Amino acid sequence: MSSIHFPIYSLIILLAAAVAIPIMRKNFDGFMKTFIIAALVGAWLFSLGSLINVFNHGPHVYNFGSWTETIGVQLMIDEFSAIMAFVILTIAGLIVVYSIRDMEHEIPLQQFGSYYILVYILLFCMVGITYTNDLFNMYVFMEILSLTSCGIISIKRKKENFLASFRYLMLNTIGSLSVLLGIALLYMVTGHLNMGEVGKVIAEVWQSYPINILVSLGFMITGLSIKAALFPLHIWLPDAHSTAPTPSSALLSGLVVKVYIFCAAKILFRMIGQDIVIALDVPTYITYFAALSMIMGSIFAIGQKDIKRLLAYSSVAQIGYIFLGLGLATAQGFSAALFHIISHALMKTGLFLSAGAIIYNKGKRDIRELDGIGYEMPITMGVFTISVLGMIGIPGINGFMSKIYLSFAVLAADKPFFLFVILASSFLNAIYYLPIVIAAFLKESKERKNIMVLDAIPKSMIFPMVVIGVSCVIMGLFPQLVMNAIEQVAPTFLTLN
Amino acid sequence: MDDLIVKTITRIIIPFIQVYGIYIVLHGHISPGGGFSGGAILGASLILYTLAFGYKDAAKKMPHHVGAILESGAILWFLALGLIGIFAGGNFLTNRDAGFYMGNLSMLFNAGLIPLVTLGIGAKVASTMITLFHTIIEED
Amino acid sequence: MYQYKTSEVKVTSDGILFNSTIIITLLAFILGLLGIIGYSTSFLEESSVIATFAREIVNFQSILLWIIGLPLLAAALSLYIDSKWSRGKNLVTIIGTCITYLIIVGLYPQVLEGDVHYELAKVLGTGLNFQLNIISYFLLVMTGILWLMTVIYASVYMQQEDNQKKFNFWLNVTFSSILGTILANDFFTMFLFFEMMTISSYFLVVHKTSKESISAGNVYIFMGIGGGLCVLLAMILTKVYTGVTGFMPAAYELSQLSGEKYIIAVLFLIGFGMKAGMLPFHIWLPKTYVVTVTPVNVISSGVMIKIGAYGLVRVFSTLFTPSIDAVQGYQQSLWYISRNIGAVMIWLGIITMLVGVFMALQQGNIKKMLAYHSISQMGYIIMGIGVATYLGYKGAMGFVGSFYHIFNHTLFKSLLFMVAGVVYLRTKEIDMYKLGGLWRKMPFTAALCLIAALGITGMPLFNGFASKSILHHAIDEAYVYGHYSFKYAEVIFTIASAGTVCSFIKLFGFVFLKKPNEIQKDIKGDHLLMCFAMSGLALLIIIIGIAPNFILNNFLIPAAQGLNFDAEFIERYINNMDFFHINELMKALKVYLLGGVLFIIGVKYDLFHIKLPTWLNIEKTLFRPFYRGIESLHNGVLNKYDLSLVKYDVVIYAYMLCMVLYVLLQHTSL
Repeated sequence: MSSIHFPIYSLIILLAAAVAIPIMRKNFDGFMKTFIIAALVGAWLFSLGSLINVFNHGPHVYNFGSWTETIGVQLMIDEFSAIMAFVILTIAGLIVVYSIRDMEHEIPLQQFGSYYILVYILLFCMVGITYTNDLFNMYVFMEILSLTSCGIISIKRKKENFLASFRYLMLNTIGSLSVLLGIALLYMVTGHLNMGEVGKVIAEVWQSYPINILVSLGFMITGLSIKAALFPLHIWLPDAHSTAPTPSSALLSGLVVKVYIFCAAKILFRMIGQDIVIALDVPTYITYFAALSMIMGSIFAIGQKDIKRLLAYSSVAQIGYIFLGLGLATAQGFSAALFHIISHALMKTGLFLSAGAIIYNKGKRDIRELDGIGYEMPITMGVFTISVLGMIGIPGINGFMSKIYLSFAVLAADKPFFLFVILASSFLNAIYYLPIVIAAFLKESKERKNIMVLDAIPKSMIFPMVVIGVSCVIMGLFPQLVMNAIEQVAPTFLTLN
Repeated sequence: MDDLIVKTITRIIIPFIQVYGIYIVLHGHISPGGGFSGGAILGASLILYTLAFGYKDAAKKMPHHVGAILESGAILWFLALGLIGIFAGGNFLTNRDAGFYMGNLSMLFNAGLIPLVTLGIGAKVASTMITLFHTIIEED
Repeated sequence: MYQYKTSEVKVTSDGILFNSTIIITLLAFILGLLGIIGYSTSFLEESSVIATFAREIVNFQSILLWIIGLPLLAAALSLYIDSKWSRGKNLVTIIGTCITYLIIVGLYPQVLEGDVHYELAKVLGTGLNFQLNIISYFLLVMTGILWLMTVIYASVYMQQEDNQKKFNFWLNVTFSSILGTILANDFFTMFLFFEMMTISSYFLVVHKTSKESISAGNVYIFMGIGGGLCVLLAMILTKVYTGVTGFMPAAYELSQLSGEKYIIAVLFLIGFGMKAGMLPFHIWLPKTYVVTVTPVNVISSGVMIKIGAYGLVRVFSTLFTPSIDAVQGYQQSLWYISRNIGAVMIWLGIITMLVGVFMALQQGNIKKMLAYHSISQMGYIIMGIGVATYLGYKGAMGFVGSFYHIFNHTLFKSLLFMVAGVVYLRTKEIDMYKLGGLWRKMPFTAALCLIAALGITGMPLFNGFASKSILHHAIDEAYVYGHYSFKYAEVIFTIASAGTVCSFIKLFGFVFLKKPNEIQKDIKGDHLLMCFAMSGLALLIIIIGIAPNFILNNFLIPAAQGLNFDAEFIERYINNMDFFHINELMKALKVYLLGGVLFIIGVKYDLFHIKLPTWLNIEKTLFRPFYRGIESLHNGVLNKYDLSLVKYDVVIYAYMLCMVLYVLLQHTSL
């Protein structure tokens, strides 16, 4: 089979698995578990194949139905989308393996099927947004994505979940409408919906229709900022991510939010173009909000007592880092932002999975009750500690390398003020993460003596956590493995192709 | 509702509604309409049945698992049609180059892929509407 | 007063001959001493077998990596073996430390020939760079000696605490990270091992896991991480603005910048100064030293605060100096950056000295007093580094003095802490006002304490005399070649030295000489192994005191020649310095007399219990309100707004949209 079809195969497998679950047997037994994991592994293998293909043969486009791009839907398979789709499927695979046992204490057994339908449609949409090169296609995927995210939050039938997902839905609808209005304004000017075509037309006409393009850019950026949780518009995030079941939180916080940043990157750099973006002074605007996000996210997190809410606010701060890298509008900044997307996805997933394991085992969510838990669950707390050290910026873990790359990018773009913001934010991270680790390993638990035993959680939950922990350390010690690939992305992404 | 007049009229009218719906679905590529609107009409016919005869009878006519099979089957049908395009050498969802029967203009069986896809969409929309309606009704 | 554990001490003086630990440690100790004496008399080269073996080992390409890796291996092994074999509990640690120390000692001939470099490519993005030259070799030897003695000491002392396995593990990891910091040739390598050292020493500090330990540990780790972030920021700024990532002279590039070079210098000063206990960032030192176990005190004040000073030396003697071909004399204009920073450092050092001694005189807790003395002696060292930076080309005296003092301070301060540990082990009492008359029961320990006290106060024939004379010369030169205000600095130097004398008269008198209380009637005598460890240090103090030129000629002068100091200056003033000149002896006598007078006045007018006004306590005025400010900001303001923000989400969206459109539309001519 020709390998240019591999991305389509990934997408088809995900969608087919999602719709095949309702017609299978009702009870969630070994066959269904095997089926779910096999589908995900299949999709993952195809994305790996497409990644290898892109790095050997270069980027290419894929037109649905062999129509030309002015009338058809087009997928752009370049280094950026191949790498990001691979990362999304890897991390999602680990989360799904984890969730098979973890969801037992969150939802009743007969709803497992529904949960995995929603998860697979979510993955289908994420991979679709990553690959797509068509504006309206992106919009359709975004809408389905927001609906299914609401679904995986509110699958746990509690009042706070319903409230959180309702607010999420409302704000995301406002965001989607904003984006749709932007798309409509751009279509009015350019007459195309394909991102490449729109880019070409805008490069010629933006002097003649400046207001139109600017207004549409404003609407789209603000709409995407709501969905990606940039600082003042992040309000839905703490409730949504803290009340959702753990695998949902990990998926949302680690992957779904990043996908909207991909949309913003595509809009800014493929359609509007790097030169126009810098001429319009958009970077200033985005970087100021990013800096605000970095500091305020951490300050809000300091006072939180529920561990998942703390992790959610920390996500807000880390998304600020990514927007800072994006907003610099240089190739180095963009590479640093991509590196941080990957490393934050790994670290935040590690944090959420280990927090979920603690909740699964002990039922404790309050950080004041976590004394001495490092002795009962050493592997879990080990992964938690590695991720925390990465967030603070200790060398050897990938979080440190992403801060270094971001600092170099900031200084190369001649804005040294943001360097202080990055380091102040790292110190604030230390303030609220370290007490948890210290209490877990050093304080005496009231219930049992501090003797180290192995974790009493199922192996299918330990395995993803260990994989994430090890890959954080490997990526921290040998960041070139990832950075070499990412540095090939920036030139092809930022120039108009 | 337990009204004799409504039940009698419903029993007579539903086949006509369904024929009309199928007509719109089948002629989607020739005249206005297509899968979404035709499916909505098909769904409306069974909703009418539910309103007239009550939930229990309607659930026997269209149980949940039949609806699930229809929905999933429709999507799998769509994907399979797209895959034919790949196996015939083009891209996903290729129409003429994949060897579908194109026919002449304004005939019923032309434009290759499109009527087949429209059938799937019609079935899916109809069953979705019925399932949603039944789910909301049964919670009362 | 903290309640220490009053469990029965399980160590007796009988039956020790059959313990394998004893035999191994005796062997290690003897080998260590032989190693020190061995190469100085070129014994190794005469005996061909040992020489060729040593040469084979040290010519091994990645020997530097092995030096760092061996303690890590020992750490991993000790976790496994200590739980299986209870009689040989500390064996792996002791053997590992001994082997590492022997490798370090054996590297001396190669270091004399030239630098050793090693690069581990591709790790951490830019690769790890290691190097070994005389400066780092000196510190390696010092660390090795101290670690060997500490490990022997700790194997006895830690038997009264629990969790020895964890302690040994973190001890080995800290050793490895300290070696890595010293051997690093690159900023990022040094930063990696610096952070590793902070984290692993944090676990040593909170070994006791009581509430006070954890709160002191919090202060320690937050200040450690804050200092590390300052250093990271300075490194990134250096890399981007000057393109320099190693320890290379860069004054030319730095002079091209306008204000950033002072920001870089201040950040390095704060970052390394926090580790070195410089005012005003010294507050973690007294807090942590009181709550830790004694072996941790020994290594912390012996080695870890010196790493801060080492970092300062590395940065300010290399980064801020012009490169060797641009140097023409000390009037060279590129030295002006160095000059400004050096002046600040000298004054910081002087203030640290004075405040350290003053606070030390007020303490009753022996450990807290020794902690403040550590701060004060670090003030001497920082002052020396400051002189080296200030005088630039002619700064060799300050550099030599501070390095000599680093070595000497390690020896006598470690000995003092070990003595305090022995006193605590036997009497369970750490307050010097409650002790007394211990010289009868523990005569050997008393003699060792006397040797250490004479060392720290600078008695001729003991090692402190040599380094303090050189430092005194250094501050004189700063006055002569530099600004006239350093005359006052010299006066304060003398006063601080006198204060040190007074304080140690107080310590020795109160602990060992006073009339004993009735409680300490039945305490056992000295312990054999601990005395071995301590006497090794004492022996070194006396040897260096008798022949101070040995270290000078073999280590310090080659080190100073390796940096950009005036070679003629070194030749004229430092080479073959006459330490026992009558001028030096008179200065020492003056200091002692002043100290004695201070002690008598202090005892008479009871000046040793002064309670300072609370506003002078830096922690309360500076750090705590800052922390409370953030907390109250959070509880008061942000929590309220957090909930109400949620209600106004749509309003916020509309507002942001208008703002975006406004900003963007400015670009058109609307």
